[in-house]
Amino acid sequence: MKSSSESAISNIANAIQHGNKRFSYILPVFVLLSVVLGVLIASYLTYERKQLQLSINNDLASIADIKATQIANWNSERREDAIQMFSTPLLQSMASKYIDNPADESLRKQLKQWMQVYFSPADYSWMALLDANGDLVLSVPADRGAPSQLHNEYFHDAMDSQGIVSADLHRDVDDHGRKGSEIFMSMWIPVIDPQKPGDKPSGVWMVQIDPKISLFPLVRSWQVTSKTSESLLVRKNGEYVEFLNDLRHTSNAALNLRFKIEETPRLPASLAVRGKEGVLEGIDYRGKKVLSAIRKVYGTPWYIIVKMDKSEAYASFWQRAILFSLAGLVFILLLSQIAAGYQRKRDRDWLLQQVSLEQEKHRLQENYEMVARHWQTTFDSISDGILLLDKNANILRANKAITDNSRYDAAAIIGRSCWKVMHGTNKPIEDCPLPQVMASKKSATAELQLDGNWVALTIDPILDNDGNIAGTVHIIRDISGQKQAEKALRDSEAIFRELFEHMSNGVSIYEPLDDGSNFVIKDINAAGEKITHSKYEEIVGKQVTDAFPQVVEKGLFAQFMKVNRTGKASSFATYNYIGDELEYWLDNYVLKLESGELIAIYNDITERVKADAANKKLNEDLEQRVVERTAQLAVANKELEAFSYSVSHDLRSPLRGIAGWSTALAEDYSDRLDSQGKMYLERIVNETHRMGQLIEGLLKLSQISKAELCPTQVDLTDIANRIIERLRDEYPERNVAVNIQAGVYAQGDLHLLEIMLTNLIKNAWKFSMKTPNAIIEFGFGVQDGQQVYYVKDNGAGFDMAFAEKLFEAFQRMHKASDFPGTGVGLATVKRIVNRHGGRIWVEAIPDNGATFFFTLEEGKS
Amino acid sequence: MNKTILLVEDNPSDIELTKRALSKSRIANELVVKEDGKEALDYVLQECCAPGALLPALILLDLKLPKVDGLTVLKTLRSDERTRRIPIVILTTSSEQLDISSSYDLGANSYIRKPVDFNQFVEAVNSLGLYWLVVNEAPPY
Repeated sequence: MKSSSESAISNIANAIQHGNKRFSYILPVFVLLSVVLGVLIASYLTYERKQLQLSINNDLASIADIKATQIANWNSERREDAIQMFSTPLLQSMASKYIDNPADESLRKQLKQWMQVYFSPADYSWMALLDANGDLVLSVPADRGAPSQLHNEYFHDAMDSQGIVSADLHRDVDDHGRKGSEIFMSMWIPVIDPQKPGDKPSGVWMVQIDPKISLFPLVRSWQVTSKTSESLLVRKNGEYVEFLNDLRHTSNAALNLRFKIEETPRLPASLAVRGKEGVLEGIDYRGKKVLSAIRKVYGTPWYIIVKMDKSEAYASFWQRAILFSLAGLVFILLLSQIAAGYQRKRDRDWLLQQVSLEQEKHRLQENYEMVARHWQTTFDSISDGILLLDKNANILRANKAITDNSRYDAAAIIGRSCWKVMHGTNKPIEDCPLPQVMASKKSATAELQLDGNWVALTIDPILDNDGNIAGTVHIIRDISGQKQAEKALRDSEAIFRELFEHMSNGVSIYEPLDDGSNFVIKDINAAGEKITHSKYEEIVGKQVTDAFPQVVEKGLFAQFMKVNRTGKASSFATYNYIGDELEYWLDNYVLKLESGELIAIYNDITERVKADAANKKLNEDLEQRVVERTAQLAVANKELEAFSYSVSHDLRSPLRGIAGWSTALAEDYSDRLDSQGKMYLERIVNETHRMGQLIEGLLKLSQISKAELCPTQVDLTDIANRIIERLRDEYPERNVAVNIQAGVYAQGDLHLLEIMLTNLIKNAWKFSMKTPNAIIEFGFGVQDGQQVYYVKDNGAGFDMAFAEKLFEAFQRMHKASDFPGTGVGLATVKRIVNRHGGRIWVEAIPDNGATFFFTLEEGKS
Repeated sequence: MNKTILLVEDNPSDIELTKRALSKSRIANELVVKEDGKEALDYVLQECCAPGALLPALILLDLKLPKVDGLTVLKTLRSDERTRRIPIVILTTSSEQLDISSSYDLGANSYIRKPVDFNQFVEAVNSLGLYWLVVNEAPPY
């Protein structure tokens, strides 16, 4: 068992390794899946990024386009304004005249009015009229001084070229004349009198433009909120690129911030001034990667750059990329878990299958071994000898019944021919049925003698699939016991036949008909013939109802049917009376044999039944007499009750009268009575008193007989102690030694037992009053297996000759003058003991004390 | 204070002895004696219950009486609204358990067995007179 289970375990271990090889393709599939998923996510993200870039580029480019257009428009408007001033003849004429004659007040008024009109639109912060020397002639607002020296160049250009000169963004003192500078643009328009064309201009209009009013807001305005995006305006200034507006990320940049173009090849501003246009990636003035759209602003030296930090532009993309990567990762992890779980399940199922296969194999193996053992054990357990022979009659197997015989040792007989081993011959013996079996291919039986015993030999052929004899089975049964049993049976038969014939009981044997409707008499013994007044020859072979028709009427036939049906033996009496006289009485016992035959055994008990009947009548008479007596007794009891009532009531009344009137006599007539007369009266009173006590005692006695018993566990020791206590109180002058055994209990009526013990102990107390060293004992012991209680004193005692009378009422052992008493005490005690089912007796010696013994509940304890 | 005691007793000797015992006990109440149960009932229910008449302050009742026995007298008086509160003391020779329990069941106030000894009898009458006529608060009518 152990080795096979170990091999099963090692098989399973192999199976586990094998199983891992089988399922290892899971891992590459999983890796491939992960890679494909990774590539899918990556390519999707790349596509997304491209789309995003395109969209950002478009956005930036369109914003740049719009801004470039707007700024160009704004610039051309300013230029248009300048051209309009330049080419308005009236204005030029008035300006020219006023420069010539600055004192002309009306002209100044007119010019100023016009300048204010001109000045009113946005974008202009200052308008001044300068004469040919560059001195200020007129100014709106009026409180500004002459333009600074910075502008000399523009002034002279305008004077010389006689055309409009525009001054690009530059720093100048602020418009309120405070310290510091602000950024401005300005237009320098020569004043040329239209009536004197070709002359040198008489002066120059200076119009200052404040870019903060429209230009910079135009540059800065942005439709969507963004943290990093901004637009900026730059221009080339020599080797530098110059930032024209204030920037978002650095302060005071306008016209202050500049970079050398050569050194900043990736700066969008540098790229712009180098002539690059479109959307480009670069690094802005902060050194951050930005996406920028660059446009040249037509009509100006400016470039507009619209840019946004690359980090912001791609922020959403990166968020999405991380999200996708995480989702992919989670998906892959999930997939790996599922794959691993699936693989584990496959592994486990496969393993379980292997284990169950292994178990099944093991079970089949065990089953096979068990079947083999079953057959071997069965083979060996059969008490008949069994030999299996091959077709050549050589012994293949022999069971234990054969090999146990020392003559046929297994090792010595296997392989040898049957007859050689069994009979010591060279061919089958004459009685052997083997040749017959070989010929007929059918089993055959023979009885023959082997080793001095009779055996029954049965040979069965074993046929192969083609129906040819492959071998034979020989079963050898020892039948010598059977032969002996047959003889024993014959002997026994003879004994029982003798018994049957000579027994005094009648016996008949019946065989039921097949349908059980009747019984055929098979046999009857001599006693049976006598009892039934029949002859064997006349009734055997007949049906019972024919031979004895009265069996039906007497119910015996029904009894036969019942016993035949149920198989249960039963007794049944059949009898007949002629008038009151019993004719016969048979006591039948009917039983069924295993063979199905019924046997009836019967006795003639007529005489006995007659005797029983006489007995029964006698008993009935007796019972009747008991009933009558009981009734008489009940009447007597009633009368006794009435008597005791009348004693209690009626007898005492006259007694009281006697006592009462005697007392009255003694009281009322004492002066007329002498001492003897008084003594007589006293005697009368005493006697009535005593009679009263006698009546009292008698009543108590009768009440004890009537009282209902209420049995409980009673502590007799306690009661005895209390009685003694009371006696000591009552007779303080007496000195009595008392010995009360502790723990004496009895089962009985507490009240009655107390009365009983009181009487006994009082008696002992009374009859020991003349004894100097009085001793009273109470206790119990076991005598003849019975609990016996006793009250003992060492007092007066009495002659045992009178002991019998002691317990009768009014019987006294002593003179009243020696020991007073009513004579009912012990009668009461005896009645109480009797009512408790006990006995009371006494042992006494005159002048040497008495011992009262009693038992309670005799036979119950 | 001068209320009557009714003694229901048929034995002339006992009647006289009771009278003697009462006088020896200095009980001066008027004593009315009825010698059978019927007379006793007639006296209480008719004479005493007439307008202006007084019920006895105490009834001493024997059980064994001619015509109507003591227990029936007790039962009748106790079942009548007018007389059910009169103190009734059973004064009898009987010490039968059944008599004692029946008397109490029917509403006797006390049960006294006449002792044979006259001195004890005097003592008994003395104590019951003292108790029922002096110590005890009589029922209101």
